[in-house]
Amino acid sequence: MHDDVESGLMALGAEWRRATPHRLRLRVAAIADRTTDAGQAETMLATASRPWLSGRTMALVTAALVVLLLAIPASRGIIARQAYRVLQTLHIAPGTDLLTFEARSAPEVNRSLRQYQRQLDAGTMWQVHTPYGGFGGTVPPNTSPEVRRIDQVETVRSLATIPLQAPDGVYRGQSLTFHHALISPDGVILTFFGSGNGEILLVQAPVDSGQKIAYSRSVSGSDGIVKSVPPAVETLTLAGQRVTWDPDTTGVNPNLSALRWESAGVSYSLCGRALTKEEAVNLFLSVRPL
Amino acid sequence: MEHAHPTRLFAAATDNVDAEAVAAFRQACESNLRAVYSYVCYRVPSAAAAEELTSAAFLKALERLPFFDPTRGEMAHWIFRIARNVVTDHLRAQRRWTMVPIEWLSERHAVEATAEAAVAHSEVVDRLVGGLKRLRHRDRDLLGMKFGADLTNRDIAQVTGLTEGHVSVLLRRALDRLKMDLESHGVSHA
Repeated sequence: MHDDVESGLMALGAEWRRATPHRLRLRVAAIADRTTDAGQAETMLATASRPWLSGRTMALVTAALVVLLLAIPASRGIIARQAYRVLQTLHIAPGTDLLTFEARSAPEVNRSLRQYQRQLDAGTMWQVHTPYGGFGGTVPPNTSPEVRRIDQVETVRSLATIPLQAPDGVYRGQSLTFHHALISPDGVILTFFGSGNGEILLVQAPVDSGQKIAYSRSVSGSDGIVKSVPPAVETLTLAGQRVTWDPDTTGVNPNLSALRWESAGVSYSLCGRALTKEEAVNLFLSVRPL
Repeated sequence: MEHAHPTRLFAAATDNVDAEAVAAFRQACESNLRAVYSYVCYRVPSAAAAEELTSAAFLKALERLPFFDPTRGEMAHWIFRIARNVVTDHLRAQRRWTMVPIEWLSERHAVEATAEAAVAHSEVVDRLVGGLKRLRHRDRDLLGMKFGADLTNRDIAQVTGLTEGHVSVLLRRALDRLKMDLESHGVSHA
């Protein structure tokens, strides 16, 4: 009765056993061999899996991407099924991480994207694109998947469940005023101030209920391979607040630099057009309640 | 995934493990690696994750080698129990978080044509894997041991602590559920 299914399962198992990766065999052999320094082997593998760090590979870069990921407790609904191998997690604050993923081939990326597109179509995920990268996350149960654009600051205040902040003062010759906000289904608020070259985005995400927010930068080459680029952060203390300067490491999109900090259960990320560290520091020092 | 340094772990292990156990462990690593990897592939959706978890399972086994008691069963069964626990811990952690690289979507059009050709040959496998993914973890666990690792029902009983008869019943039910799932998704296996 189950002949075909069983045959398929047996074939699948045989295929996976046959296709056991060579580098995994090396890793386990290193574990089994007491004369081998397995730690050294791990390091070599990690280096080998990040070839995009070479200058030659970077020259192939055609696009730079920033990725925002939301980590949300199961009680609020888990949608995504993909599992991406995280090569490095940098905890810059209790609820804020910087992630570096393994490289993905074009077929792997496409397969993931098709799954993701289905989740978007089903209204279980949300996403927006900005000059500062893409942002997205899960839609809580019984919630509209719509990302709402709000142009009135009073309306944003009334809808926000977190203490909103705003940069103040003059920036690149113009006074920073609230422009609009995007409110996601799961409470992340992207607030835009100013315009043009003087535009500032302040991402404000709740992380006080077990949520985490994570950022990652990726680049894609002409071969379709998507590669995650490790961060190179600098930690500062400004007016008693620990902040992290997280500059663009793709080398191709300076809009991906950000100053990040966490306060009162909210993770903040400040972005701008080719924002410099000095500008970011001054903007941070100008921040006040919205 | 964080690991303690393997060399340090092995040094700790060899303090309390006799040469026979060390030799058995090395042999078990070699002879069970493919089966463990295939079993893990049955349980997690990513080959990269399966690779990482398989490696972690053997590292964990190395760490626990001083506590292996040959009078309580074969080392292969012991390694599989460790692998099951490693996978279960991983799946629990995955349930806590959602992680989706959002911006990859913008690359969709660039990679679509190449990817379609690459996956066309594996349509049937994709459907089978899709059906497995929709099964309960326990069903995937058992099917992974049976078909992924190619263990006998007796082996599975040793690993799980169930009776052989109970394993047989649970496997039949898991296959029933998988078949129903595939049929409900338009895959005929008459």
